Amino acid sequence: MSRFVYVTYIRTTPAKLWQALTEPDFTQRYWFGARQECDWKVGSPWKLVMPTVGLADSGEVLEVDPERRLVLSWRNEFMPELKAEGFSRMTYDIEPEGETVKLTVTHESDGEVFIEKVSGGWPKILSSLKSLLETGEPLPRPA
Amino acid sequence: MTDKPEAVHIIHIAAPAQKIWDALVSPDLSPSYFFGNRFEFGPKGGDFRVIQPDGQVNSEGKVLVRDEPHVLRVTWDVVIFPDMRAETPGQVEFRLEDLGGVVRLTVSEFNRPPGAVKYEESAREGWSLILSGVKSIIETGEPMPQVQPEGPQ
Repeated sequence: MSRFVYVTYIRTTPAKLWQALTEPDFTQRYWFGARQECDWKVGSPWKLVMPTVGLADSGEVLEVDPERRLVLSWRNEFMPELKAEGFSRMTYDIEPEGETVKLTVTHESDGEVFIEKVSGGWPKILSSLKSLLETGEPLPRPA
Repeated sequence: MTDKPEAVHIIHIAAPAQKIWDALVSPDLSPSYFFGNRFEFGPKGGDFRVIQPDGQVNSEGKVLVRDEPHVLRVTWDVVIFPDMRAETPGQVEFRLEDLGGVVRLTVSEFNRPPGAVKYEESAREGWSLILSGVKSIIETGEPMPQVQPEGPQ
């Protein structure tokens, strides 16, 4: 089992952070154009569509606890060597800490290559999310 | 020791590397993102210290690399926790890389002393808080509201 954990603290509220993580129009702004498709009900399909590759990742909603916790199964769909590793499990945990909110992203898989890839991606995406919530502007798209 | 870090903490900041460097090495700014503690970095070969708000020395070491505004590397001996001390102190490296309009700040921990194992979780939370705080003060001009790190104190 490979595991990636990233913790970030954001000056916001759990309600705003939940909205930021689940509303497709908002997500697209900090996720460098990637768009989620999901109705956020347990058992519903989840998709991530990227402007450059189309369907990038897909999975299913495993747990939903608004403003506290979201768990998805998650498989890459456009890189055969990653797709072959099967489904990973991604968890957002949201905890208020004074006037800030602590967001913990835990991504686990039996496949190592996928976790290595997302370990490079999450810090960019979550840094951009923090910028957007705190300054109103996401980070520029990586070159 | 090998040069493979035992832990890595990464954040991306929308600012020039020099501005982030200045925030790291400025003794005046560091308390706003370092739970009131103050960083003191000397020149290469000089002393490194972390001073607590009560004036006590929390950590000390030597500046191994000071390549402004790219790499800052120190030996880091947490003198305030006797069980974290070791014959060979750990090392911490701050690395700034310009990705075009955004800088990746990577903090790497090397050669952590055996006693550090039980502090692993609080170290991760602590570094996450520090890096989140550095990003907030640089991007918004305001420090992040104070959050006290959890874990053994």
